[in-house]
Amino acid sequence: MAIGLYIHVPFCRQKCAYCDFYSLPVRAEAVERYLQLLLREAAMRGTGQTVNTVFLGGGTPSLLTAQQVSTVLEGVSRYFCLTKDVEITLEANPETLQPANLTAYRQLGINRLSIGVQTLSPRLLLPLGRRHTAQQALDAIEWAQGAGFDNISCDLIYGIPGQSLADWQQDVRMLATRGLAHLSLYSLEIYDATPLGQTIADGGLQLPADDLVADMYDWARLYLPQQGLEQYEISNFARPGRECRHNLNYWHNGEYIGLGPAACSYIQGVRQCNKADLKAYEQALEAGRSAVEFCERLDEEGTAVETVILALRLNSGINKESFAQRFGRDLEDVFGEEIRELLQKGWLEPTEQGYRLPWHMRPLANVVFTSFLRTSNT
Amino acid sequence: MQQNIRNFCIIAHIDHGKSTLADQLIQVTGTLSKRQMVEQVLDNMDLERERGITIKLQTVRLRYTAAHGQEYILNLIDTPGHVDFSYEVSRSLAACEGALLVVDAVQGIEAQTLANVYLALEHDLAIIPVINKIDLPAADPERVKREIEDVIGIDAENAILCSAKEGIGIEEILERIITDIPAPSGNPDAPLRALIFDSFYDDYRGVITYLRVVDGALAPGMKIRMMATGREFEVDEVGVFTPSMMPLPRLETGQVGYMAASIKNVKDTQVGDTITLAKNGAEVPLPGYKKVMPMVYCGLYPIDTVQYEELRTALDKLQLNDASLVYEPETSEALGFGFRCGFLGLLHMEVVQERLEREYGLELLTTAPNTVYRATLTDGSVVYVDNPAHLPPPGKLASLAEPFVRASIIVPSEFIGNMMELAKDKRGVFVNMDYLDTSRVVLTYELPLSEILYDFFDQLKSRSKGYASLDYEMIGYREAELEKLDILINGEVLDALSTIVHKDRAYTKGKALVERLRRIIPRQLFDVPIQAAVGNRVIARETVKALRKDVLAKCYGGDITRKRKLLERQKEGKKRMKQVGSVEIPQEAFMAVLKVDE
Repeated sequence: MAIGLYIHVPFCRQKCAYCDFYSLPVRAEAVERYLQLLLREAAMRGTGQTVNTVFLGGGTPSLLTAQQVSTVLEGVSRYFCLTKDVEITLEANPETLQPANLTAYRQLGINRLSIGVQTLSPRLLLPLGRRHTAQQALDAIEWAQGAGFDNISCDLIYGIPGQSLADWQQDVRMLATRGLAHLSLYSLEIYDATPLGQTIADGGLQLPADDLVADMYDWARLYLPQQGLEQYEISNFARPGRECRHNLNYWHNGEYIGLGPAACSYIQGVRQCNKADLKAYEQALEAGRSAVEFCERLDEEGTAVETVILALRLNSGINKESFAQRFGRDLEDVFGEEIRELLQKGWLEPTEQGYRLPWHMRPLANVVFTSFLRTSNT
Repeated sequence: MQQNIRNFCIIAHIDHGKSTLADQLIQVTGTLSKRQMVEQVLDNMDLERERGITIKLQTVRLRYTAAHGQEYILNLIDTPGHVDFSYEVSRSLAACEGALLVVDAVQGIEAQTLANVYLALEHDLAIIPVINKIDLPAADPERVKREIEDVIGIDAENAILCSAKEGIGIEEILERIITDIPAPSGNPDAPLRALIFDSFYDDYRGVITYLRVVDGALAPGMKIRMMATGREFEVDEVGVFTPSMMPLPRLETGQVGYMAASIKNVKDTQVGDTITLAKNGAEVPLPGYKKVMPMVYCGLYPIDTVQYEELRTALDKLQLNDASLVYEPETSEALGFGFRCGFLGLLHMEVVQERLEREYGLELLTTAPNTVYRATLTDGSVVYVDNPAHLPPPGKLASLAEPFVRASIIVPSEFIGNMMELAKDKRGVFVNMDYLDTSRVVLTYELPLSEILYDFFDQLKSRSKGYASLDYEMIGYREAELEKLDILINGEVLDALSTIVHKDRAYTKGKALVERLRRIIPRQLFDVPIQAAVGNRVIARETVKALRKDVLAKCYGGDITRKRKLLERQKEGKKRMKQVGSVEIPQEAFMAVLKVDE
């Protein structure tokens, strides 16, 4: 079975105000050192596993030069077996993209771009702490298309302090008409430890009301399918066949290996995450040890719960046959009571192959997910 | 021997240093060495330490050799320090001949002190004023002396200046106990009469009764009778507290100690009852016994219904030690099976709740407390209602009465206006105002007890910047224009939220309550109407709008564990809510009625 490969690039020019991912200010020497370590980790963990998706995430992977990206890809293909049709995604920030590096990335075999547009409203880029302008974002898309990328995804955020429904509709419309293959729409999640979280806690900015945020979501999931972008996951929309294969693997609770600081892996029922600290990551690898700092093994039931919850994020829902194949038990054997109750409430609906969230429950998915949870299965 | 006994207690406001002084007396007399002392031995329940209050009485026998060479036995009888336990205080005082009146040299007299001093004076106790904390820079002993003279009317010229913390004045206190407090005056030749002033349950020996031998003597083997309850027992053991229990062959007239008599239930050794001989006993009991009636009731429900039996067992066990706790099974349509429990007051209620949760690991839902209403029905019969949900329908009610208290509030004069306003808000009737000195007054009001159960104490403190102190005593029932206010959630009356309110307040209270509930009840997957109603008349309405968004936007590889944990916490939070019909209601909602700002 093929697995996914995630590579965390922990560098940014500047941290965005809402972001709680692990990242560091970019410095040339640090990047070079990191690349060496990354390849050392790949050597430690790669045993020729078949990989059909590679995702360079971050951080800002597009801060890597084409040369550096090439080092990474060449390196990993030494220790892993990349399939012919491998999907290789690079996450990018608009201000880092120019026709030149885009052309080079494309030639290296990057075949999917995920551009962090977030919003096209200048007024809203500010509270998010983004470094680019709306024009830069639009240019980046155009240049990427010019460089031969036909599988481009953009991220948009809604629920930004100060954002109106009209602001949101304008953002979505402007992207929907640019021939993109994929859109991810994320409701802004606030973390206390971030600058934006602090500003909001101090009353400096106010989040839009939940109902308005729900309106934004509802509008977008009605509008986008008309533009050929079908919803396939709670936050994701794609033209048919352009769903992100790397992420689909997560939602199918498939196996993956994550390389780099803070990256997580899930192999043979064990989920483990590397230290979210470049220094500690370095020390571990230099000592020839693994950089893992968190590790959990779920029991069979816990794995089943996660499998159902993750699958229900997808519009296709949970497939009874693949569940039975994976666990050797019928879905109804394990979750009969939960499913009956949810069906009766109308919080779940049957499909030909299994069950899925009905349209009205997608924005309320947690309510359904929590009903599948049992007392700790780790 | 009787001539060499002194029985005394300490009267003090919270924080005025009673426990520290008791510790010093125990140490100076060599009753316990410093090493043996756990700090403040007298407050030995965790809760008491944390709250700095005394709930369960302690008693200790001190041996002291006076300056003139004679050895004395000094029995220190502890008193509970809260208005809820004023009957227990009165029984402890009745077991003494004297009292140390401890007043903080900075704070001066507080309402609680005043109430207990008056009680001590009623019992003809010799009072020795002690001004504590004179080591503090702001100490003003002269002012406090004047206050004691003006307010209490006792001579404070010879008040002892003391710092229990620094050990100043302790010897003087011990000497004065001997010279100023009379020896016990009982008759050793008369039939046994002993006053019960406390008890506790011991797993091995049954109930241990704290007592003061007033007449005659008490020894193991005697057949005794409780004069109020009529129950008879055979004495197994008698002894004194050193402060651990030390058996003695007998307890003579005037002595304070304990008795074990294979008593299975504290209810058989009621505080205030008189112990006499089963045969040829005394004919007249000691004065002052009364059966303590609970004043405050609330419903206690297990959050998880499977804990119902555990709750019953825990209440049974607590009651072994607490004769004033009453409870009976109750069923609420909203909350299922639980108990209606009666308490002496709010503190007593909180203490019991906390002990149930802490010592017995129960998760409880508590309904808002209420007083006991007296309902006169149209057929002339009278019923007492301890649960607002059970109030007879208006058609059957001739009249309703509620318990009133007389409250004394001591407060700096600059806050008089605020206090009067508060009392008015709480339906108080002004009785009197006395100046303690140029800057402090005692305000006396008559108030419905039910108003004190609502945020009265918090308001008192906040409107006086923390300076006001409060004491109150029950003065009986008074008729009032009362009606039942019901709360409907999603169209159903939530019986646990019904309250009895004054007619003039029903509208404002109902409005405030539904408004508050709207903020407390989380959004559900459908609109939830919240209504306040008197009879069939809806007087206020709010709606908790349906939840539209509860989803984690992102969930990718590295995040799955963290997101699952978020969901697990969310589920835990829901578990702590009570499912009423199809609505999930947080526990907080059931106490909302206490916190409404009208």
